[in-house]
Amino acid sequence: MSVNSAFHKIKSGDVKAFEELFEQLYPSMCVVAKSYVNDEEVAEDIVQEAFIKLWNNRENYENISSLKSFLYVMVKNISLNRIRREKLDKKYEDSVEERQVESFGHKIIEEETYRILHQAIDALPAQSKKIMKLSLQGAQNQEIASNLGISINTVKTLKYRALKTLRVTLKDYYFILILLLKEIK
Amino acid sequence: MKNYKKEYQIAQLISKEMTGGLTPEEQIILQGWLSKAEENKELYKRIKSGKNWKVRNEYVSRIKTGKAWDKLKVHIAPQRKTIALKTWIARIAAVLIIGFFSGVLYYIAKNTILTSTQVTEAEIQPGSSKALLLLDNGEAVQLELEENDSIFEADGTLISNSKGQLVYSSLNTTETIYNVIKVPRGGEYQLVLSDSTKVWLNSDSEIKYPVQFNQNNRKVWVSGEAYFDVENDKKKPFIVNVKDVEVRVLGTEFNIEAYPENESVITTLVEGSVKLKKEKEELIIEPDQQVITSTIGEGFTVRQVNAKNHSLWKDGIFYCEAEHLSTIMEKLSRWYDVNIFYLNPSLKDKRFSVEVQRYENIDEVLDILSATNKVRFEINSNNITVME
Repeated sequence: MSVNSAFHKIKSGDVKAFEELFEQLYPSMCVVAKSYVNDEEVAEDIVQEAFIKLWNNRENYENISSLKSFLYVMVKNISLNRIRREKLDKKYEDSVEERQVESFGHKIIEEETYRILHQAIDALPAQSKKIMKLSLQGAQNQEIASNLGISINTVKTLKYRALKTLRVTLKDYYFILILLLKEIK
Repeated sequence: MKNYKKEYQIAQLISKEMTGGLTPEEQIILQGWLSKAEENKELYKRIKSGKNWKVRNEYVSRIKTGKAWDKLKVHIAPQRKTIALKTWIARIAAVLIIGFFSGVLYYIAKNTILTSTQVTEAEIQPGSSKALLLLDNGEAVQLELEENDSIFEADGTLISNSKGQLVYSSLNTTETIYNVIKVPRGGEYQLVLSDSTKVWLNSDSEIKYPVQFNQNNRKVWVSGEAYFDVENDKKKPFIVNVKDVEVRVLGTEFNIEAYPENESVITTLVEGSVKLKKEKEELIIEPDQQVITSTIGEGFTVRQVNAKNHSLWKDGIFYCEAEHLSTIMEKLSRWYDVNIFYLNPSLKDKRFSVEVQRYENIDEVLDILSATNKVRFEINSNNITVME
């Protein structure tokens, strides 16, 4: 219900609700745009454009996940247009496009996974947050311990507790599927 | 347009799997997806290795979302609501906002845990700021889910909600409409009324008040426990109606405790002076006096106390001085939202003193009590059994 109300608010032109959505999705969209254009400034420019289009078309989508998909696809399309504009070599452009179309679903899976984990970890206490970030980047307990200047046992305990918390957080249907954490008034 | 629902689902499953929280059914779905294509396996391995995640996070930490929003805002057509809000803000004399908690999000996350973990492994959490606001039109607003936000009442009053506190702006209107705040067990909330009077509400408590006070007086209705810091206004007495007692004040600080399950109203005066009225009887009390008014008996019982100690809860301290164990446990049950059982009911009348931080784990209090060797506790999920 809460997610629906946030969604309906955006649909009816609530700037505050839209800002909430922006805060949650902006980084992910930048990551995707950058994967195409490989330039941070251009990527952020593309995402701006996508969000403006999303706002102007806000009445046309049916639910929050179609809205998110709209945004992902928009970011992809604008990115490809930019590349097309710059690279005049027809062959090169085609091959880029084909390659990207094939893996677009994978791009979404990868970024969504990172976004979900990032968001869940962000709600942890500071030290646990650092530990979990390092751990999910593939660092071993010993490495994390010396990196943060704490004992390996502390790492183990905090990690165990953090994982427990994360498991519960991720079980929450709303948190994970729909991304908007809280109701927006 | 493709909806990418499958992709969102797989992302969820992988993130769950990485924290070890996948159910057997989900495991099967993920396995099915993995065995479908070699590329899927590669993607899965890549995500789990954490290599891209590191690069991605480094980039994300450089992204300035706030700045980007400022830039975007300009391109979004201004909505009527925003304009109205700004005009109102300009009209308001002063709105006081005091931060109560940092890390509201953390608390929300914690609360989610309580509701969804199996009862057997749930830890008992202390209370936090949460409350339900009932607007005049019957609409209910869950306050702890709202961060730094504003609500308009029908008469145009701006209600600002920020981190555990609700603030009403003052406004000249003629009609009187009422709001109600209900704080559940395990909650607390702070409120600034339109006359700048501050109210702290303890767990399992309720207050009803007009959004704007009328010309003659300032009347509110309370149940449970509340601390009042009343703004001085000689022309308009502040009147608290609690059960069958009326507490009349001009400008003062006092604590009222009147839970429905207890047959009493306990008023403790910290500063100033208040007049209590029950039926035809009246009594004026001084600072550091506490009046117990029984709802079944007659008259007032006055005793001398250190009044500050009776309002320490609002400063985050759990304080009891030579109180019956039953009273102490009752307070704990409200704040930690637990049930109390006595193996031997005679324990209820034993007296204890205790002073701890309210936001600590419940073990802190129980350990202090059991250190006296007069009482022991057994915790089983949300139930606490008191034993000799």
